Amino acid sequence: MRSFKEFHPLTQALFFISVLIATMFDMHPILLMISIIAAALYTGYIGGIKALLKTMELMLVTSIMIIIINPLISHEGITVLAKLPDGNDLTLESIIFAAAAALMMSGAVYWFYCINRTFTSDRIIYLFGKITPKLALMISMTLNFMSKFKSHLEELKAARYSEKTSSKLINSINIISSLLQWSAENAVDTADSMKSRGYGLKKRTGYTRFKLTSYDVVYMLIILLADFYLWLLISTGNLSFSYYPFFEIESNGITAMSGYIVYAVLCVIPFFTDVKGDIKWRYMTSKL
Amino acid sequence: MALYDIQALNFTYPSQKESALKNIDFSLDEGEFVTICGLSGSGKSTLLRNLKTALAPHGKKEGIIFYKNDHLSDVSELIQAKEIGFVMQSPDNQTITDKVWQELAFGLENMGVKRDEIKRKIAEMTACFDMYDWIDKRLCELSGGQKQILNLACVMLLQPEVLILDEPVSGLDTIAAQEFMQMLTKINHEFGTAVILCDHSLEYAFSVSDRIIVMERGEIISDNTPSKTSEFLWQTKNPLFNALPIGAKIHYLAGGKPEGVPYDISSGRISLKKLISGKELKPVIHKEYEYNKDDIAVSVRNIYYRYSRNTGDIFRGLSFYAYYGSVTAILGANGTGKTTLLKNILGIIKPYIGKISLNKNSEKNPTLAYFPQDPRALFIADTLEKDLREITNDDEAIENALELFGLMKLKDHHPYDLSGGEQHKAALAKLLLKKPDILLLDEPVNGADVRTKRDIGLILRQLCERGICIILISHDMDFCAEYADRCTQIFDGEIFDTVSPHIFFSENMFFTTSARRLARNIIDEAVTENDIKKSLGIKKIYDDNSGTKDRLKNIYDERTAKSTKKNSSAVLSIITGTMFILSALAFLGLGGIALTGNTDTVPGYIAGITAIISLVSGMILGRKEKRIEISKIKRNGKGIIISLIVMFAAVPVTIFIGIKFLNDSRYLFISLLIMLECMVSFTFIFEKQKIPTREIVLICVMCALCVMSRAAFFMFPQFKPVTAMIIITGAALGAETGFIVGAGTMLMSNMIFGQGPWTPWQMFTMGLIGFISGVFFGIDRIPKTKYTFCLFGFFAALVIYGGIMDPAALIMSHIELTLDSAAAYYIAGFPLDLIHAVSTSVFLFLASSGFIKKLERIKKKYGLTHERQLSFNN
Repeated sequence: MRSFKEFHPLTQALFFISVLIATMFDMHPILLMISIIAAALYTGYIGGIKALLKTMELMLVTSIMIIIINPLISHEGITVLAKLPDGNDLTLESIIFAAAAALMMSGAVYWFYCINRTFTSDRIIYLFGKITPKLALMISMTLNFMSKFKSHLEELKAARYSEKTSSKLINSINIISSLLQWSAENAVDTADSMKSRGYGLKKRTGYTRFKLTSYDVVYMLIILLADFYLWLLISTGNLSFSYYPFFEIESNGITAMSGYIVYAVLCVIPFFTDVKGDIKWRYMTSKL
Repeated sequence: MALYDIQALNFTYPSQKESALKNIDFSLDEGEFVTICGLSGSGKSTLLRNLKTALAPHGKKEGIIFYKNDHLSDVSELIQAKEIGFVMQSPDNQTITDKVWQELAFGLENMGVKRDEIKRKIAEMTACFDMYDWIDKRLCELSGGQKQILNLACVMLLQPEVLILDEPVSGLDTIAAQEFMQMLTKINHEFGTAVILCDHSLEYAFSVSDRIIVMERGEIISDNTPSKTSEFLWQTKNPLFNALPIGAKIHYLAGGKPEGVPYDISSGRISLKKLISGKELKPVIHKEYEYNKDDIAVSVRNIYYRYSRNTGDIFRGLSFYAYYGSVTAILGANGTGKTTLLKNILGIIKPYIGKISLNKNSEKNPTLAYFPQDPRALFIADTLEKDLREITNDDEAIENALELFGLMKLKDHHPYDLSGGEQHKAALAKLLLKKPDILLLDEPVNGADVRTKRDIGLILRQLCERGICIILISHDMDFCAEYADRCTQIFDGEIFDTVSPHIFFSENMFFTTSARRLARNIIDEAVTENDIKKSLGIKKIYDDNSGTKDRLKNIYDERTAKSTKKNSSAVLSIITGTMFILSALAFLGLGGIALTGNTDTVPGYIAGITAIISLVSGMILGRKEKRIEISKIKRNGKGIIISLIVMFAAVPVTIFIGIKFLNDSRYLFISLLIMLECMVSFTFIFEKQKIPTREIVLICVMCALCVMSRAAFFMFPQFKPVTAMIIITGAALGAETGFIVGAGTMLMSNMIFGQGPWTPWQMFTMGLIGFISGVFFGIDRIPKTKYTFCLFGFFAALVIYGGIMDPAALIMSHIELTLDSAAAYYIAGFPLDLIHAVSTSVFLFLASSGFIKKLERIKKKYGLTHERQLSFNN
């Protein structure tokens, strides 16, 4: 009944790495469609229409740029639509490719929205802590400093508010300068406090509140199996496609179909677990 | 067995002649509760810090400190970390991590304790300290009092034998301070942990301590039981006498016997009853403040305010008036919106309903001055005098302001080197130079000792006589009762009627002054200590205040200020401005040539030439400019060499392999691999290197600062000083730190603004900029002037950042990477890059020298340079 947000960071990381690699490295049109639909579905589920539109807005400029620029510089493809002023061809294939690229970027950005919402800072710290404990601690410290600085920044703005002598730009620079001084001077205490509590004397253990449950292991196995099957199909050419010289999806057989299904199953894991959890919860509370 | 035995300890800071500690002799037994008191600057903190090796200040030390019969220096730091717990003054500064549970685990993790045991110990401690509700919270969501209790809990988790606390409650409000002290006594009584507490308010110390040590100018002048100590303070007319609990003070002043001196309110009341029996009490006459409608200075009428759309109202129809020539005190619990009200009056934030108006006192509009909760927010320069000059150039006014607060001999000190009380005074001096008509004070005596409080209070009264309107927020009810004309309280979005202090405080039973609590129903009209004294017929001893009035007059007098401001900066900015436009054109032109391949295009040539001219002229201009001093960082340099080898060896190999085996079609894969190689090698080196704790902290500070610098420029949306800040960091702190801060900043910044596929690219690019900046400014031959910074910033933003991030979009979208396509993307992104470049160089032009100066001081203070470490008090 756990929602995806509460999964163990390793499970989450494995999932996101799998879908991101598949989305960003393989331009298969159907796989792309599956990925973007699943990503948008989950984005909409956790962030509502607002998140969907906002993320879309973010990608619009980049997408338009890709769609305009690619046909201007790439002249491959056999379907010529028009002649460009510099004498090169404007081809349908280059536009389709650009559209696919824009779609891919949007899909990636939707996935990143999901990452930002579910893979919270203590999960990042946990993952870093596995590889490099020092950096993990530093991330946590930086987050603490940021919240301290934020409240002091408000105070600085108030303290410097009535300075009419200088321009806004100079005033802003003075504010940062003052913040630099204040924060670095105070941080001496932080360093002393760390030393006083024995930092750096011994090899640190990393305390974490995350526990790998059997539930997580099952999901990890599912993800790994799906990954394995998908990349097996890709590397054996069962999921091949081409944009140039002409747009074609060469894989239509049952093997390819099974690949699509496996990929779809992989991509909807977050949405599926959350919805399943919701339904189960409602069912349970309604019986009470 | 004595825990501590200190024999003939002397200590002198490196840059000072006089010893900070002289012939200190004392011992501490197991389970003992000892309080060390003294005015600020008496050497309390220096003594406490010398009791733990990890915190001991640098300087000349003589004498012996025994810890459990061993020399302290022979006791391993690990044992010291466990057995000697230390809690510092500021609740904020000593916290380390982001979340409560991380903070609790921190010390145990350092000890290498296993996960399950950590969990068990945290469980135990949360139950004992009753903090189960906050374990999931972020530290920034806790109040000051809660943070200090958390700090205590963190130290207690290591099961110390002795707790050393350096003014732990002086920044807290009364209720939080009481709670903390109760916790501390509980620990002392129930776990037998010995306590050394240092505090300048003796409100609680006398009733809980076994022994009290009094320090003065680095010496122990008394070491005795509480009752003998108070007797000593009374006999010697020590200024600390005023810091005693009120019951004890009255007892002595009214001629009570040396036995049975009361240290808490209940025994104080019994003693007071005894003292007044048979005596004739003089009536306490309260002067009622009478205001004149014409004197109204601030009128806040029926305002409604909320922080954001979805939060509830902070103020609901609040009305408030303040008058010229009066001190109005606003009281109330934490979070009721006292500071928010001041900010509304100041005009930083505006109510969505209602009106706030400031009335004129004279012909000109009233000048406002705001004293923030942390007075250090007002300081910006590197000496106190320079700081005051930010406001005015009027020498006479500055001199008078310094004299008024007794800061004359400190005028060449760095404002951050002053003690807490001196900082409060310096901040007030700076505000008075603005000649304010309305003075808004947010906790002006928080954490100040008795003497500072009285000095500030008396100056506030003098200002009042000059007709200044003062609005004061304070937790210190005794201070408000003594010096305010009118008091009020905010509660539940509304404010009570402002009334005279004697009415305000005599109506309350708990939320009132300690004098009122002591004298309620005994001398019922008395609300301040002076009231009690008066009615008992004790003479009030006035200090000599002559001169204060004249000095204030001198500060407020209009004089024709000498204008010494130079206009040269305007000329320089114009020159640099043109320089940028020229070089921008030059780059555009060069780009054009590269694109078209037509070398005979004349504009391209012209652009190329102007580029060279502008660069050369920049260098020439830079020659005359004052050099910015950058000291070298202590470092073995191995890290840089290894990372350089990785960068310059692994990258071509990766590209080669990519071309050879992957047919050069997987750019995304190759480029990600390259970035990973660089970042992993850096991380690996960083992880393996033994980096001083202070440097780690400084790196985190710089990362957080770079991220926050975006927020400081909220009014200039396109102006992102991040690149400039990273360049400065790299230049001042070295290439390695530059890389870590650059990459870290982008990671952290994207944690807030949203991660994306661009995160690794941004991390790599910013890291590279920091690294190159470190290498470039590390070369001795490069003249380090603001012009070189300016040009480097322009180059870094336009060429490095634009040059990587623009084509990165191309690589990410799988579009074929050719010279043409890369150029097309670069040109498409060029306008934005240009804005980025210009803003970076403008920022560097204006800020580089000031920022580096500040970083230099910090480097010295942190001991990162080869120079001798700066001494610091506090």
